[in-house]
Amino acid sequence: MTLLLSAWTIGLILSLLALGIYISYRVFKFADITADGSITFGAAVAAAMLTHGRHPLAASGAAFVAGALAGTCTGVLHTRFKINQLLSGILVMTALYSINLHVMGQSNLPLLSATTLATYAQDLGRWISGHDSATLMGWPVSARDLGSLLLAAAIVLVIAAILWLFFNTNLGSAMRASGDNEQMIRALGVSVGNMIVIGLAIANGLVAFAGALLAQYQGFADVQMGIGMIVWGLASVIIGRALIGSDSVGAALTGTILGSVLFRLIIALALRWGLNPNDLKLVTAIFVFAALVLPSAMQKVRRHAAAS
Amino acid sequence: MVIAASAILLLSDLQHRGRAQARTASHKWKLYFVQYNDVIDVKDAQAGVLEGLAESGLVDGRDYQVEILNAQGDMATVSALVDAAITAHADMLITFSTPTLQAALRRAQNVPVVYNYVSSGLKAGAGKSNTDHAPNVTGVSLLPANDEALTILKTHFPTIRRLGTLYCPAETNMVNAKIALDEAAKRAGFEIEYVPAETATDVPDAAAALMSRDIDAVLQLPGNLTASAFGSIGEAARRSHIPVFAFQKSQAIGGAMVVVARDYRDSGRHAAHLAARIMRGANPATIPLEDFGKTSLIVNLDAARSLNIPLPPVLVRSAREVIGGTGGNR
Repeated sequence: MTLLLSAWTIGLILSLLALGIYISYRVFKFADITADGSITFGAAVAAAMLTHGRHPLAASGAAFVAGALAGTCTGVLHTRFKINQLLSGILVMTALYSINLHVMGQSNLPLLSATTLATYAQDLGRWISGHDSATLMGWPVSARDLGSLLLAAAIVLVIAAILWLFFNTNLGSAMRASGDNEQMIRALGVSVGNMIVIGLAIANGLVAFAGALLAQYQGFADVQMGIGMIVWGLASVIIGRALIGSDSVGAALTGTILGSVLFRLIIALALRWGLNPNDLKLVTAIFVFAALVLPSAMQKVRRHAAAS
Repeated sequence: MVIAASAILLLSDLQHRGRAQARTASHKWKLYFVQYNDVIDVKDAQAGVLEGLAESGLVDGRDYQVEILNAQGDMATVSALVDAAITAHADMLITFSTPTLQAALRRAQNVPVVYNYVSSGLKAGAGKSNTDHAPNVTGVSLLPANDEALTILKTHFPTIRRLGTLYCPAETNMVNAKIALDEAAKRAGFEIEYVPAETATDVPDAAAALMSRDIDAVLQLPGNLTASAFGSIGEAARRSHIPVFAFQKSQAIGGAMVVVARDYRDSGRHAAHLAARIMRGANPATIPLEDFGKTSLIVNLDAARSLNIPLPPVLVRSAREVIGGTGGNR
């Protein structure tokens, strides 16, 4: 049960990363590699502030702003300096590596003695269960795990709702249209460049916010924590689309969140079954492949059965 | 599909439902080795832990069983490793690396944790001092034998004043080792040139840059990156006729002339001795955190000969291991 709660919690936290990548990759068709750097940037800013005694909400908010700045840089490099999308992201991600080291002052910052959102999550869990531990469907769980899951779920729900509302405003609709039909939106007098910059700022703000939450949940920030995150985020977005099978904003946001959770559940299953550590990534890839093809394969089988 | 995966995960844990964890001093311990990445140093440390358990009189299969979990460099999986171990009712976690120790400190507060392959348990958050630490945690920190290496340089190679080393700013262990080397060099009156390298592909260029900085010798800090890419450093030094001093045994075989080894294999062995004490009933809260201090001197006569540097006989005699020369390994 501990592993299940943890997989859901990390899945929900990283769904914010996936939502950021959904905005850049699906809304703008922009392959934004900045995410690998901005998730660590968010963790670094939050960790540095937390170790200086700042409030966890202020630290997490500052992480969002920091990520938004990084995204703005990528957007400006691409739209104003006409640098290729991928290269803009690579440049900012590379620069962030050094910036993250400067922000933290070292390559790893422990947060075990700092007051973080995880501390509040523990208090929430205690308040609900009345003790340091609780029983969930017969399994003993700690108040911290329970509180962390609930807090992560609440944060993700609120952010997903805000994003859904935002994408239904005039600005949000213009953004979606910028990605879908650049010429049409330009003809309507909207600056596509500005839309891309704002979109990447929001996307990387979310990614950095995910980094801040992950650092607080795990108890440390590390300069290497962003390596490969873009890949997992993209995988979550694509799995999410396969799971939901609809392109509406609400469905895409829900699918992205579920895709992220499913991805972490798959890793948890691979770990739980005691697979050879060397095979972890291979098995994860096979599971993801199965998750992608199974729904359509089952649909085909059902259709075939109905036809005959 | 998400519900199905959650249900399968819960079913995998069905046998532990409602069962209290009972741990006695005599049962077969489930030891979980929790690792962040799969590099040469981690393998060394792991081999050291297994040797240490055997040295302590514990028998694999009878007294304990080992499960190895490795995040393969994915930081988001580190917590899941600890949770997987707890879900499987691990009796003890043995962590390898700073992130896995930190995840264990956060997520495994009711299971004994023994750490190794960490440059500073205190800096990682394991405690305020070696005796005032998290009650379920003990372990061994390892910093390179800087003072010993610099004393050897000062005594036997008095013309060497400017040293150089590659380091990876992203590796916590290397950064801590760099800070310690800085302080030791200042005390001993050496100058040190540092060249950063982030990836294995950076190492050849970084090594060439280091050799061009007018250094008298390389004193290579231990680390994941430099251990796996040591061949490039040794080759660049050989081309520039600069002797290499190092801190890891494997680097003596790889061409370093003198190695003052205080390595992860030995500290892993020592961590296993602490684990054995816990398995025999000791409370981790009463076991102080330790800074591993044992060193062994290894000299490579072939490397010295290729540079036409005579190694002082007294240094060779004091070496625990001599590589090359007419007598071969000793």
